[in-house]
Amino acid sequence: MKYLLVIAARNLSRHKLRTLVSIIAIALVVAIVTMARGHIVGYLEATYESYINYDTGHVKIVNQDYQGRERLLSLNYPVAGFAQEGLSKMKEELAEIDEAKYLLPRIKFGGAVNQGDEMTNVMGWGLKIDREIEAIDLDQQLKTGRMPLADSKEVIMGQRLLERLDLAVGEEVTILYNTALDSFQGSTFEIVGALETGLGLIDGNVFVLDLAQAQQMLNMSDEATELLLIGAHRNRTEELLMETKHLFEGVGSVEYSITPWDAPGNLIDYFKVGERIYNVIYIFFLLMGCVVLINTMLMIIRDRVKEIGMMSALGLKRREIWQLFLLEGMFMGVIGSLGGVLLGGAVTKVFSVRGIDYGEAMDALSDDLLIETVAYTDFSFQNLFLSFLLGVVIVTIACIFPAWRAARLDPSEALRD
Amino acid sequence: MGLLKLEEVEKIYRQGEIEVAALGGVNLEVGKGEFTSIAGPSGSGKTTLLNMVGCLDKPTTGEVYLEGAGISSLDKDQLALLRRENLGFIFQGYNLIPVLTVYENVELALKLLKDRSNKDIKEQVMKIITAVGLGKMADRKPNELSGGQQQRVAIARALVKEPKIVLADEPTANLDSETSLDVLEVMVEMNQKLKTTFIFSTHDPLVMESARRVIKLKDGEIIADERG
Repeated sequence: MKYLLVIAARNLSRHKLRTLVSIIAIALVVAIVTMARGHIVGYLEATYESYINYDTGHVKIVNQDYQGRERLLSLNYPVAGFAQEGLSKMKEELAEIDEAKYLLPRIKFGGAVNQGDEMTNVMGWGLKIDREIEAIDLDQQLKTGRMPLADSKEVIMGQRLLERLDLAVGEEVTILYNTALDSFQGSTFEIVGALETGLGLIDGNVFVLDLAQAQQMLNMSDEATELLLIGAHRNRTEELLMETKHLFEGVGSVEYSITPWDAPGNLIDYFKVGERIYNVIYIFFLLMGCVVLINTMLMIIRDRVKEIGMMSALGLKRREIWQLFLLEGMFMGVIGSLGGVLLGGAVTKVFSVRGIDYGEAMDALSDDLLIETVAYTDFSFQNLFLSFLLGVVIVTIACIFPAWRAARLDPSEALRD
Repeated sequence: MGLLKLEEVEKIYRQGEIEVAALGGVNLEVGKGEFTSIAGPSGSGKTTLLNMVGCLDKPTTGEVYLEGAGISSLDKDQLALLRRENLGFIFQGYNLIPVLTVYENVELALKLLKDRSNKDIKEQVMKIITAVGLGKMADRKPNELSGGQQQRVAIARALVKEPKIVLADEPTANLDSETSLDVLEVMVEMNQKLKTTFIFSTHDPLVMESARRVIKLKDGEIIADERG
């Protein structure tokens, strides 16, 4: 086998230009795949994280009747504990679940701010601030100011919302809202901070206040509209989900819906399908790039028919001749993939720091969805390694056919060539 | 039975609907240590006969026996192993691997054989390279050698594994008469020294003169078998 490796490696230098063109073709395709993967993975990872942090948790518990009405921000179908015993009791029991690291009760409600003649719709999020900081580093998203204090009439607002309302940190804002008892109320809050998450939905619409304050003003004592469970990692969601469902079955609770972050039919599920489709596209893309290599390999074989005949006469088996040409293609694949990963990796690194700003193109969409307008590519060794591996494997597969053709040559006919 | 025996060997090639008989019922026996030339005009079946003897091709009918064992029942990989262990080849166009040095080209034939230590391989390769007069050129690549020198490398490669038979297809066809003589001397010397059987196809009178047996072919049939 060693002599085959030596011959295959040295054969690369026989027709330098042809080898170089093949290697460049592979390198370019692998570089594009590395960049595309970095972009897609980075974007999807950020989107998954945003959805988990701000919408779904790893597991989300809501009232069955609340599902489907979430966009209406109804306060009439709360999470109010098992048999209406209250959220605190439910949290105590959920805290026993090994997989659950954080329990995040949230109240999401609609409101409006009157600025002159204009009413601006806003979305209020009542959060347990200290727990949110621990679980999702919410304070890291502050552009200016500080987080609201517990039981205070303080809010933080999305930076773009502040701009829309022509308000600033330190000023006061009066927010109008409906309570759970359907009475129309208004409260005035001090704005103590500005949020900048990069998510249009939050930055342009949301104000955050302390959960206890929200419960009090909305008449939702010991209740929330949703309860999120955060585990150690999203890969362990299945275990967290099973344990949670087991607990709810144990207490005979059927009024709540328990869904994982990637439940079938939700947006994340579509993203995951998209991720799989992209993987297939990468493979097809690499195969297209391999056309150059296949062509080169066929030319090489055409040039070396007599040599193949000689090797066969020398006693090389068909499998060994097949291996020789496969190794030669594989070497080109390894060198090309390595070059492609280095090139693609360098570009990915730049955009992982600078980001790609989709700006206004994404604004309309990002106001409804938790989608970032600036995409940061994923610069990880996993991506580089996978792109490299994908390049080598696909190139090797592409070389099977030409190598097989070489191995099939009849020695007497090859020598007559 | 001799080292090699061909019994009623017939080879028919198909060209579309047409059948062309390249060999028709050839009977031949070659003994150990013979220095045999197969002569005949172009298209007489010399190369086809060499391919049969060299186990590169199988007869359409008839049988080729190597040390009494028929080859017809062997598959392609078994034939490859048979060639690897028993046969050496010298080609008209030398057919050396251009990316390997003289030493490595010769070494390759031995590397294919199992159970050889690196020390043995090195000794054997250097011995044969020296014997063909290229001891000082072991590190050169084929493109740094003359045609005659390349053919000497091919001879060394064919002989290094001490095969039972060396088959040479027009070994001097690409060489000038002086170099041909030179190469021929090497083959005669090796035949005498190692008692290796040589069978070569040629229409070079110089080569035929040096052969102790000349088999003449015409239209795929043996028309004369002369021993000198």
